[in-house]
Amino acid sequence: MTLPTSPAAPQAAAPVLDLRDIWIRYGSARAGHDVLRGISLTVSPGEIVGIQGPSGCGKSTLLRVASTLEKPHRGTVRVCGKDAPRGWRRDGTVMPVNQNAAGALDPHWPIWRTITEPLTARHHDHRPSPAQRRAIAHEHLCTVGLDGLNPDALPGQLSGGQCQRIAILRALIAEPRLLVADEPTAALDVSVAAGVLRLLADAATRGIAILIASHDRTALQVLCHRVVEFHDGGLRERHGDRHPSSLPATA
Amino acid sequence: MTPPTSSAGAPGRPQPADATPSNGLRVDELTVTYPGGARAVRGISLAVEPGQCLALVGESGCGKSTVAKAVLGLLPHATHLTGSITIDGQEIAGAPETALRKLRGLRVGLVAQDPMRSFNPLLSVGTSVTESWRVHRQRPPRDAVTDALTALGIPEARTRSGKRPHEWSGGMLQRAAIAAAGAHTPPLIVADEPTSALDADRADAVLEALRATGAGILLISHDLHLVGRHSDTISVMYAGRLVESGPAADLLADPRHPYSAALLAATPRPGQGLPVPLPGAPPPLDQGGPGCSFAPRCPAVMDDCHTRHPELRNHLACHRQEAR
Repeated sequence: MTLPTSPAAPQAAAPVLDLRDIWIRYGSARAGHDVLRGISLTVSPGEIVGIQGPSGCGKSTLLRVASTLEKPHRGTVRVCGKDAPRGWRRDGTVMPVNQNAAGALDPHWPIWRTITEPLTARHHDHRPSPAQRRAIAHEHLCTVGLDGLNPDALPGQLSGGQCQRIAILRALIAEPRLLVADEPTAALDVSVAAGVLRLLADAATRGIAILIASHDRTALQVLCHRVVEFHDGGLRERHGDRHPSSLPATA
Repeated sequence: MTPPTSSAGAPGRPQPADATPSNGLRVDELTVTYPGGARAVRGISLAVEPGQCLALVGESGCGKSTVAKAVLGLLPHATHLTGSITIDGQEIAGAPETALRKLRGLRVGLVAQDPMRSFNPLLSVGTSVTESWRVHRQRPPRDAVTDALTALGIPEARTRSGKRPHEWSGGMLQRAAIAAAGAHTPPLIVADEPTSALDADRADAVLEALRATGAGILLISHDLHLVGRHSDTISVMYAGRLVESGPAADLLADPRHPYSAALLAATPRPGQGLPVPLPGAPPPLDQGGPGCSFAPRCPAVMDDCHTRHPELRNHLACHRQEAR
């Protein structure tokens, strides 16, 4: 279904992410190529917005802008109502999840250390001790059905699906406002991908906004409130399976 | 060489294991044990007739790719293999490498997972496709490559075939891989996850191109809905064994084995809410208890399941269904 404008959803809360007229150009000013041509997109608290489009259409570039890793040549990026400088995500407001989780985890760190590292960031008042961090990691592992996993295990000893769930746990542990996930299930078996989709849906019910890109149309359809599709350099929008009324009223 | 014929018999019906097809692929009681002791395939029988598509589905590590490698004779040395694999009546299990080399390309084609890796980046795509002939010391017939690419829906095939793989899209390159695999119209093409490296909307076009070759197809995949649209028969593998086989439409509409049902529930379907993950993980391949290997994860487990291995009867291996 193609909708000319966003439906009047009960979006009482101010958007977590507000992208306005984003332009990104790769290459030189004269011979370059505009990857993003005036893209505007908002994500509200607890809302899951999916991005789809063929390879090379600019999905990943848009996600890099949303996670403030890339500065647009034109346009504004506002996160939680504030203009986002580059590298904003370092305070834990925006957390990224990559396609290749095994590559994103430090191979020399036991998983408890990886999972709880965001809690040790400088801006946190109560930074937990290593023993506390180990206990917190175990507690969180239980919530995603990884009870049997030893918190001292190294990423190399785990399967791809386990690594991806750990990467998402790490991204969620300090309760970010926005999660930006680029193809989080592409490298996974169907049986494991289902668990990752549920983990993301649970995070959204706690008020975390999620921006997710995927090749898998069906997965986006069942997971998202809205799905936007790249179309001639712009975005075309349609409903996901989840009704906007399932959004939390306040964040 | 036997030209591919359209399927004899009713389309979409699984062939009972004892009805020997005169040509195509026939796998009989295949068991594969890797040098490290992992028994990846445990007594599998299946048949693919020319023109038919059999999809082998299951989670990672269930042994489906090992079956594909065994059929191509590509298992590592010192792998222990029992049972029989024949293509057009010719035995592959235990055949010497020289005989296997003659088979590959002429009798069995391969379409691998990632086309960007299966093509040599330094050669033009057209040159890579002509390798299918050169490797058998043949010259490709005039315009054969261009015609094959055009037939698979590649526009401006002549110009494009002079370009190198990075100038092709993944979906088009996979169609070129199909042109290479089907160069000698083999009776069988093995396609191991041919669309998992591609965009979802390219997957259907690639599988349609694969079916259009007219060869028998052994399709390895973990995407039940995708194979449901393109295969005649689906065989579900778990821990090295077949647990259920049936016509694709029947198996998707009414899976009889709890594992098939769980796999289906884990696959996202529009309008069906969030998919349901399977609990636990498949058992390690170097272990083998007396009971059903799916018992620890099965929602319908019974006492018998832990003590006795279920036999494959009427294309199904499940104690719960036997009890009915």
